[in-house]
Amino acid sequence: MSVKPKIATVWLGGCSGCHMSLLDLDERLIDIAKAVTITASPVTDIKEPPEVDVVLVEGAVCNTDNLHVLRKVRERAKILVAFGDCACFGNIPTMRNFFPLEDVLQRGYVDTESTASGEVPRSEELPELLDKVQPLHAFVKVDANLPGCPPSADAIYFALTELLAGRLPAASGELLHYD
Amino acid sequence: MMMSDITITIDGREVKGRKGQTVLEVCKENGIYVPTLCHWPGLSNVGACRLCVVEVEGSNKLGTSCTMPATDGLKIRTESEALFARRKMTLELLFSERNHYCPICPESGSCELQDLGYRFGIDAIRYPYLFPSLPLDVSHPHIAMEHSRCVLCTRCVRVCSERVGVGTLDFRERGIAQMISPDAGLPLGESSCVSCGACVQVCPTGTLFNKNTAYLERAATAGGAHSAMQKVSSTCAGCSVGCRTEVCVSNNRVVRIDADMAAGDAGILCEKGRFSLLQDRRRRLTRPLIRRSGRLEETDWETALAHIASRVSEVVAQHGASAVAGIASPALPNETLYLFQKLLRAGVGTPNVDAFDGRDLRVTRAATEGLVGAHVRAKVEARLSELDEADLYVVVGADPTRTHPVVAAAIRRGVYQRRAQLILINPRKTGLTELADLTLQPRRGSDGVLLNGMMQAIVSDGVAEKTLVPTAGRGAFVSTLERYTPFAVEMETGVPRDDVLQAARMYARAKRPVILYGRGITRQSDPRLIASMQSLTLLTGHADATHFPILGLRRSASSTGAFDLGVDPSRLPGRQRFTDEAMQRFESAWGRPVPTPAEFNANEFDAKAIRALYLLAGDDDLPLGEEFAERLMETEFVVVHASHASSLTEMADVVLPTLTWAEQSGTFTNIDGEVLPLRQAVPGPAGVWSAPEVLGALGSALGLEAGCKTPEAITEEIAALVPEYAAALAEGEGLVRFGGEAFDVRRADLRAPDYFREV
Repeated sequence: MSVKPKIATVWLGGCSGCHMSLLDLDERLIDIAKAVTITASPVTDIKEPPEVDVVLVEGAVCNTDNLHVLRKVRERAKILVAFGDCACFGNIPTMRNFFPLEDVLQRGYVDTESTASGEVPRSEELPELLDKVQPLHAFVKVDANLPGCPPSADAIYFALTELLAGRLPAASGELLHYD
Repeated sequence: MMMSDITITIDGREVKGRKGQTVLEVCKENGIYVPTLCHWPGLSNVGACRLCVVEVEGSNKLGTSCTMPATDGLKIRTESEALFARRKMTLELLFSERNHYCPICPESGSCELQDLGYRFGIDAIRYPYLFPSLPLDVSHPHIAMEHSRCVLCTRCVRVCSERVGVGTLDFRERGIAQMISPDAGLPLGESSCVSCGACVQVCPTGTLFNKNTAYLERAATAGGAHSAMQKVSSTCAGCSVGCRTEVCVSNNRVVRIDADMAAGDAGILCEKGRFSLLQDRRRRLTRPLIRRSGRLEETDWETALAHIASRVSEVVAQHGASAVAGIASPALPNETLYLFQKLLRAGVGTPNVDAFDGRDLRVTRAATEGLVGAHVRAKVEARLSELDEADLYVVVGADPTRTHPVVAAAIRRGVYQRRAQLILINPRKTGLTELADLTLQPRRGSDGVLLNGMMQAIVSDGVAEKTLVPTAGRGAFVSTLERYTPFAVEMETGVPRDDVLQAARMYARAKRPVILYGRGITRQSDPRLIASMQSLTLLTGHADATHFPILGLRRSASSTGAFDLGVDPSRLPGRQRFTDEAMQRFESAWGRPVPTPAEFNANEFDAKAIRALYLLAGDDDLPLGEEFAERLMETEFVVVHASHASSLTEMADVVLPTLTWAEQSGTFTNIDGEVLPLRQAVPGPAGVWSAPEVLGALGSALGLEAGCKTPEAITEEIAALVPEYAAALAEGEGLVRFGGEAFDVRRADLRAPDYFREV
């Protein structure tokens, strides 16, 4: 019996909707689980992704930690798939690019309607926000893109089966969606 | 070689085309797909988006097929790896230039940029995003303008100037900073925008969208289920032009109305047709109401209809059938209008049946009969299509910018694009005033004197001697006009004599003038005013053998249909007079005696004589003038049949709910005499009967034989009794031509009504 391919998934600057859509595979998850080993993932809560065959990366790159994780998984994965609109295009997280960074922090932590006396958290422990939010391919080589907000379970299933068949997925028709 | 006078080679295949066509047009006609983003049928081509580029043999440059003339022997390629790569690059550059967030865009699912992205398999953008900070303009009551999504295709700018003729939208800045800009920098809501929404329809992205229905469409298309939105080809019920519409329905709700581009007209609508119909805020009626001890109370259909039948029968028994009258909105389908007059005539036995605007059409008919003879049933007026050929518009007593905005657009197109002239005759300022070459403001009620003054100027000045048609009545005509001297006309109308002379000269010298008149004229109930216009066209040789280039702007979707189908106290369906032969025919078809014609008039009925009134309003907002309201108050028993509560229903003794334009099928007859299809788009509220069902039930209660039970049966009966409608109704659409004996309007006797004698 051959060794099952290893898959990791990571979650950068996104809403986790793409991971939710992954769970929408429902009973097809059983087929997938039989065919692959899922290692690090927000679902398994394994923090450090090991060497894998495929990594699905959800979210845009917003801060230094996102960038750190992205670079690490790029090194450790044979195939990196941009998983969802934020990873492919930047999408909603890039909306802060229209404002100066300090204004964004002020709005988020101090001027929020529900905040009585807020303060922008500043600590060396915390990752710094990048000046501009960008999609994955602005920083690393991306092998395949799977757009969608989120990609439908069918699109994810298609991508995974393509990968299992040794092909890079290129969604088209009803499986290719930007919304 | 007739039409296909050129041959070009596309992708190795020889295809035929016609001289003057573009390469893109030839491709489209031959079913060859070429991606486009800035091209729109009926607009000029500008080659702005560069997606339609093709390879041309013998040239090392790509050419935009939308602007490239198809010349004989041309060899092009529409598909190659290089072209695919180039087009994909262009698309990615468009995506990177501004801020395209499909997940939050109301047009996602019906966006041409998105569709092209899918077609080209774009799943990432190779170029860095520019993230420009761009404004969102929501100042307009209907239209939102989100510049972030604009690809500068310029369709909106072109449709605004070329089809709508207002030119509100234009550009400012250059290159990458270019912006669509209303009136050089005003917010759209404060601009000269006429709110027709043509820009919303042509916008390929989510830049221009209806802010009041945003995201309702997406509910239908979310998740890629594009088929979930139904599109129904129908006809606008807003006015008498009869624009063809595409009604978009999602979850049984009308979410968007577009001009039906396949219908081949100007492809524009107006604010009412595109936006207002979607925002009906009136209170809907769903149950019949009966007034009991002063208050309207809900009841069931059987009770309401039995009550109406018994009250009407009482009135007939006590005061005779002519104490009953029916008035219908002309915005209803032809089929309903026909059944309505049948119920009144055959069911009740009263001749008193009229459309709310019946007088307007009778005034024209009386004038025409006076000139060309009473035997003529044909429409002798101008057709809408003539507006796009005219070189002079004379607009009398009308403001088409308010009542018929699509007609106003045609006038603006003529003025801007063909340098047509415009004369306004109106005491009031109108939406066209700023565009007019000449504005005459006659005192109220002096329109006739002014028209005669123009004719006198033409006769005495000799401006029209070359075209002046000698007709039988010319001698008497000239002598009547003699009294309309420049001085007398100026005194009477208040219009400077030089303006009268200039208007006369402009009209006489024009090649294809069209006179348009509205309710400002017909409201005066004076056929002589129309007769003067007709004489003016005869005098100057502008009348053709069978028509006057004069267009009466009618009030509603089926004003003409109501007039054609007998919602008129003075004519039977088919515009037929009450001859013995005609009456016998209708009596045998209806199985009841047909009452002889009456002098009834919807606007001026005698409330003392009319004891019971059936007002079929449908979804029309009938303007309830003070006088009309007083008459209703005096009428003993009033039935109001309407879709919505209004001050009208408040005055009723019985209120019957009914369906709206979107909830029923049938036909309208527009101002041109064209039968147009109205198709049901959404279901009506549960428990609301259709008007034909109600009219059928009332007919049965009043002893009419059952019949007309199905839409097909109604159509068959109309076709049998009004053969002129048969073909159009069978096809669902088509021009209706009424006959009568052959005639030549140029042989008509010139007559000048003498307005002074009346004074």
